[in-house]
Amino acid sequence: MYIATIFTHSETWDQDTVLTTRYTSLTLGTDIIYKYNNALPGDQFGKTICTIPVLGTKKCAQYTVEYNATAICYYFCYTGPFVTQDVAESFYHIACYETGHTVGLMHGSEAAPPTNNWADDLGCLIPLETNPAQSHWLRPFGGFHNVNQVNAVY
Amino acid sequence: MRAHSSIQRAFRNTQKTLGFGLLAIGTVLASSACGSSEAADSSNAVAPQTTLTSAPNVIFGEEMSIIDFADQRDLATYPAGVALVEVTSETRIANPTTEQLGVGSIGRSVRLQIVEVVRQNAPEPLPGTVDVNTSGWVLVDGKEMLEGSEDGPRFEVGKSYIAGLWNRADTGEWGVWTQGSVFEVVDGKVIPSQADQSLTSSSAKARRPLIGLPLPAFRVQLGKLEAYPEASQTTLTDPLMRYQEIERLRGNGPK
Repeated sequence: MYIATIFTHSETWDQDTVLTTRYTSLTLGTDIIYKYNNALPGDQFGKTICTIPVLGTKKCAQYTVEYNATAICYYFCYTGPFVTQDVAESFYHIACYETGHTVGLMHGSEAAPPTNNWADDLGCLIPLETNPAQSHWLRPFGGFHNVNQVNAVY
Repeated sequence: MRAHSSIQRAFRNTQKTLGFGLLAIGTVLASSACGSSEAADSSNAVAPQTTLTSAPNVIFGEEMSIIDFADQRDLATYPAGVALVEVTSETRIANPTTEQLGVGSIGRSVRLQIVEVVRQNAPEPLPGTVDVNTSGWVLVDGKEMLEGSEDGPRFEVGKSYIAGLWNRADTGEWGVWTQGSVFEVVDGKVIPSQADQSLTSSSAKARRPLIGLPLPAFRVQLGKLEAYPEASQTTLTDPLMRYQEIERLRGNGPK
């Protein structure tokens, strides 16, 4: 099962950006594909890969986002008082996180200078909390900084 | 305010980072595509159909990995053990959706034979062999390429590595304690991987002092490391929950 979603963007972005959808492939027009891959290592809940790089540029015409449902379910399908909500929120969180990568957001540890991976300002890029007792599902994913950063580029 | 500034810069850097990885791909693609990179970069260009060479090349994605190898003391705290292993076999894990779409990753399970336990952290001894899921292959624009990790070397059959290992007692599942903790060993010496050329790998700083060490020196270095004292403050046994809890207690983890 997979969900393919077409994202449309304005074509007035900065020429220096890595990501652009203006180079959409002729054969595969979807910019971000969301699918499952339960064979990812057990400590990985999701992954983003550029599956159509733009030849000779630093740009990507299509990203594929993969969910590791096995790892997600290990932590969220059978635990917690609100099982259904926990599962839904974990997928929502991962979608936000991985989609953030497709538009250029990155982990705190990779920042220059590096910052805490759980810094609130990372918004979508805060990793999933595996202990349901500590989950903060009401974090403002895609919050102020994420929105400003994306809008500043695209 | 400072955090905002850092994050803002992080975002900009990401674009360079992703571009760096893509540039590597682009370089490979360009080598067999008649040098049309300039044309492809024009504003109205469409991603061209590409022909890949058969030369081995490794690409990597951005992962939501819970674990981050940020300090050598992590190796004394989080993995069940750190071992010298040899990859004895690999098994492709079919992904029909990837095959159908022509894009996405194809998983791989590798069998690691434990040659020597370099450091034992958990009370239970490491088994003789473990099977772990790891990066396999990626279909990029319909062409299959090797997939690696930004944080450590790609496991290859017949080669030797030092690796941190975790396990889940309830399921018996084993895993590599982040690819950042994996070091390729050739002729008794730790050698750098593609990941160590990365400018942004989160594990690069912790890895750097260990690269180039002969095995005896690596053993000595690992033997000197002490677990974080906060490890004694949690009773969690699940490797990921325990990692996040100890990092929280150290002031680095989730709030």
